[in-house]
Amino acid sequence: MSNEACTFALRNTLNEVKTICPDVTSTFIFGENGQVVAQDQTTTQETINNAQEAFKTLSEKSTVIGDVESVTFKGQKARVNVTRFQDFFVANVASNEVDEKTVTNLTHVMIPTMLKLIREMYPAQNGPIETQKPRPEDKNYQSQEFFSPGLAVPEASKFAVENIGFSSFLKDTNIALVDTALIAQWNETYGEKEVTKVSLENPVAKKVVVCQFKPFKESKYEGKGLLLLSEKTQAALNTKRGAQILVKPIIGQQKSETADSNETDTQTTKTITAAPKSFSAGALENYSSSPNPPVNQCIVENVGGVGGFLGSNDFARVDTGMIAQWTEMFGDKQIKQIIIEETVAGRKLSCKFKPLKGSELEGKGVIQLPEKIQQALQVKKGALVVVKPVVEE
Amino acid sequence: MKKKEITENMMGAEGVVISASDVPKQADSNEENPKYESLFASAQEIRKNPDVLGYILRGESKATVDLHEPERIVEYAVMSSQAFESSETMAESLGLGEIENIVIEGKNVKVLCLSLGENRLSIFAKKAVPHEWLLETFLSKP
Repeated sequence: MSNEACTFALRNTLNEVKTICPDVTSTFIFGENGQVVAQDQTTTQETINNAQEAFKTLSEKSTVIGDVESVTFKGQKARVNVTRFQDFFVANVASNEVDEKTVTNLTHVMIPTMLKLIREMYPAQNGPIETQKPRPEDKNYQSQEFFSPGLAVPEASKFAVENIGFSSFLKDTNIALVDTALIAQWNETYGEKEVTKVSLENPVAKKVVVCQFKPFKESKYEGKGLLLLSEKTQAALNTKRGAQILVKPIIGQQKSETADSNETDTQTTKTITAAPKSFSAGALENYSSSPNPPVNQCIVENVGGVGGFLGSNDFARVDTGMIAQWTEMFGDKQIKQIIIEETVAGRKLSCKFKPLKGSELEGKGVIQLPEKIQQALQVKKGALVVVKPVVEE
Repeated sequence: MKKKEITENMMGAEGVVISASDVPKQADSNEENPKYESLFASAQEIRKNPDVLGYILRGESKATVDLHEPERIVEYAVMSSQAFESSETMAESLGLGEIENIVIEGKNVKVLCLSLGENRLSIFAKKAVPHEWLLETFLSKP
């Protein structure tokens, strides 16, 4: 997926925010450098530039309170909120009658999750997403320019080669180890079609190797834009550790279009499906995640009151709205556990959950975690975590 | 904690000239701007909360500053001034109407800026302090 397609995905998300919540009149995302990453269909470039300039100046003069994380200007008719999410600022303008809870859920959960997913899925894309070029025909902007929905044309992603290391002595050296997020992306893109192999291309040496693949076992490689290859495969590609390789999925019987005479089909006996089964580990192996479980980003909060000290050390407390969303999505399927992933190092665990205690925390994108779980994830109150339900088949 | 009355327009620009002199807590022009005095009283009251780090209250002809870091008064004043200035640009560009309040959240501190008639108030507080509580304190006053 290209940068433009990432921008397109973000733009669609922003438009969705407006569709879900019509009181939101304008949404846009800009980077730390001040350049616009994505904007909805109706907001003009001039409006964004003015607002962004005002925010930037305020931000520069607010060093006394540390980095500005969020600003809300409330006027008599409407209000604008600008919130920082890592390297990005998400701005939304809404009338004063807007349901703040809904807007907060959308902008503080949906958009950051989208940004995070894009980064996870396209880890090779270092730095911020390429800024959007203003288009005169903005309102007629169509998706066909980048891709047609439903027409899953395999796209190549760039990854840096890493040695498989010691495990290559124990395993099949013809298998490429790829990021689980990439497999999840393929799974999402190609639906039921099975991604059976990958085409690895060295763009410099013009060598192509088609081989089977597996997800990383070690989470330390995840999200770093790496592709683990054995020495044998590296030699076939005429590449080495640190070099950039293009990775393209091969669906079903499809042959690699780019394979040339150098192609070496390294056959293996095992076929890996696109479903990221090995994503789960330990306790998670008893469950299989639903094809598209929703991913929510939440702020860690301590378990308050007596519950924090007594008995409930193994339970995370989740917003009832989130639980209701899962129930609606998965109907009769049971959800007994959730996967919590901290967003910095990608540590994750599964645990049981209960509804959130204390209505004052409802709808604020908060998850209450007992100390034990916080320690295991190495997070503290205020940290961001990603929460995903584990749906039992 | 020292309170300072500033007679110059201290929030105009980055090169702020502050001619400040220590003054008694009781202001001397109650009759001139009763709203200012009412806000001043509320600000003093709210300042007793240890999580409230200070405030800058600016009226038509005078300003009161009470900050936990008095040595950084200029930085706080510039920020406060810029917040009101940026709010005008935002309001104009995005059609927000007249600005009622501004909430800025930094890493550890949050700021509530209120524009009440001729008076402008900026309250600095720890992030844990709900700004709704601060707002209520000031907006509930007649």
